Amino acid sequence: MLDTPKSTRDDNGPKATTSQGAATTLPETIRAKLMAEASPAGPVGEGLSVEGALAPVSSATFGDRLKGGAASVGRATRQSAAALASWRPNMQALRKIQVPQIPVDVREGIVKHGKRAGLNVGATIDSIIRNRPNPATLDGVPASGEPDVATSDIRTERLRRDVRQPSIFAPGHILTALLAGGIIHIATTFAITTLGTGSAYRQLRGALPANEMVVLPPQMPGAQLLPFLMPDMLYAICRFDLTGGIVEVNAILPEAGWSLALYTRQGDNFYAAPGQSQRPVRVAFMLAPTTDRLVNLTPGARKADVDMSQVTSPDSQGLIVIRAPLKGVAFEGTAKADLKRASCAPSRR
Amino acid sequence: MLLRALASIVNFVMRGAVFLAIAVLGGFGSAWVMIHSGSQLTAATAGPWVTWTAAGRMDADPYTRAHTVRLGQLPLNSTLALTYQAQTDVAGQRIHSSCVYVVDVSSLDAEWWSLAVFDDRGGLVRNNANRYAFNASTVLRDSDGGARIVLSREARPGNWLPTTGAGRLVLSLLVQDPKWVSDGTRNRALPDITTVACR
Repeated sequence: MLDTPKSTRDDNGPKATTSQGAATTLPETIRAKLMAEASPAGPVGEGLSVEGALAPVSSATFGDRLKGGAASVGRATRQSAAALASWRPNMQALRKIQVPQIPVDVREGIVKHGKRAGLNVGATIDSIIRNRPNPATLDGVPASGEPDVATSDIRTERLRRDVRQPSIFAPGHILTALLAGGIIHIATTFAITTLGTGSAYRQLRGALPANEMVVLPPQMPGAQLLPFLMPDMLYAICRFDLTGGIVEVNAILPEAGWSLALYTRQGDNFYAAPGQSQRPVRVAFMLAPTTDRLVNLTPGARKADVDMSQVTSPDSQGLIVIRAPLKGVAFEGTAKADLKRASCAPSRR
Repeated sequence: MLLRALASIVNFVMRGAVFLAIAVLGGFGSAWVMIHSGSQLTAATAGPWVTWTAAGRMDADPYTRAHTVRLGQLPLNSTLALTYQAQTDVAGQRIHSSCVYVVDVSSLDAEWWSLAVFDDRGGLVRNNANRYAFNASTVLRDSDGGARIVLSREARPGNWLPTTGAGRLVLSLLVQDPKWVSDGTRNRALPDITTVACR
């Protein structure tokens, strides 16, 4: 506060005499400077004045004045601290601010009350702003007891966020559903083929004896073997079962339109022989399972007639279907007779 | 808290509904369409006629095999014979027993062919004439070699296929001729199905 060089220059003037028990007198130049600097700042505490503090007094009087001044400072400090403690800052404004922005009214309030308490206001403001309450954790009931609109909005927003997250149309959710749909799609497709509950073999298995050719009556409404089976054909069907050994198949396909076809249980046509228009086609072969061809385990396989062709079946069970087209009612008897000559029986060789 | 719990339950139910709609309905629905109706990957179309190109073959795709199993069919190998089915006329209208149709089979020059009419479940249409199909041998041809089959409830002269009150109909055409089949549907003309009149 004091300008030391100036004080040094004033050393040329009359010097204050200091002796124990005598009044202390300051040089006039120094007194004038102190008065001038103290006046704009105003009183520091109640009952204190620079004039009084610097007046020449005896030691006892100075001590009394010092005690009185200290008491005044303490009283003012307590009052200011109480005022600061009871001060309610504008929390709504505090929530809206972004550090280091400080609303003017908040700053002024802090400065005002902090100044009265003699606090380091600058650091305090920063600390208050840094440690201000988190709006998301407020209980929504401010000190005044009135509803806090801003806090209610925050809670409503949090509730909306809880309801909205995770969204039912979230990309991850949709992708997972699509993946599950793809799995169901593939599983359904293969299940129908593998289980084959509606397959032709399943439908005919109970009505047909194993390894025996059966000539079926013409297809009539209500007495159809299978759906969409052509009605202008006669059918002879053998349900083959190769678990007991090789099966011999013989048939004659007199003309075009006739056919002999071998099917697995899933309806795969693994062998077919068509009739020819110019001459009858004789079909004779031995039907063997794949294991017989590879390992030659069954007795039938070892006795296989080398003159007969062999057809390997990928399935141990299935159907042999001979189709005979009906060229008219007059040809039905002939077609039936040709079908009855066809055979399908276990090999006795 | 109650509101939040209720919102969570609603959210869970909605998520489950969307998941089921996409996964279950989408999975089963798409499989059903692919197996029942086919697609460009599995079936070939020529006008109203549709054929499963790999039907009966050992190397058939899963959809074709599932189609065969589901309908309980025993198709001949598609390298030997092709089976076409039509559910609409050339104009795309569903074939129905309340209408009269003319099927022109003049262009069918296969070694063997057979045309039959079924109801939409594959059953034969019951009729007093016991007539359910025409084939290369039974169809009557005109003096110029042309042949037309008429589908109607009432009796018609010539090649008449009764459709007595069967409702929706399906025409099935079996073509058995290795040469014809090897050309496929691109180079062979299939019969036109023309609607003459409807009740």
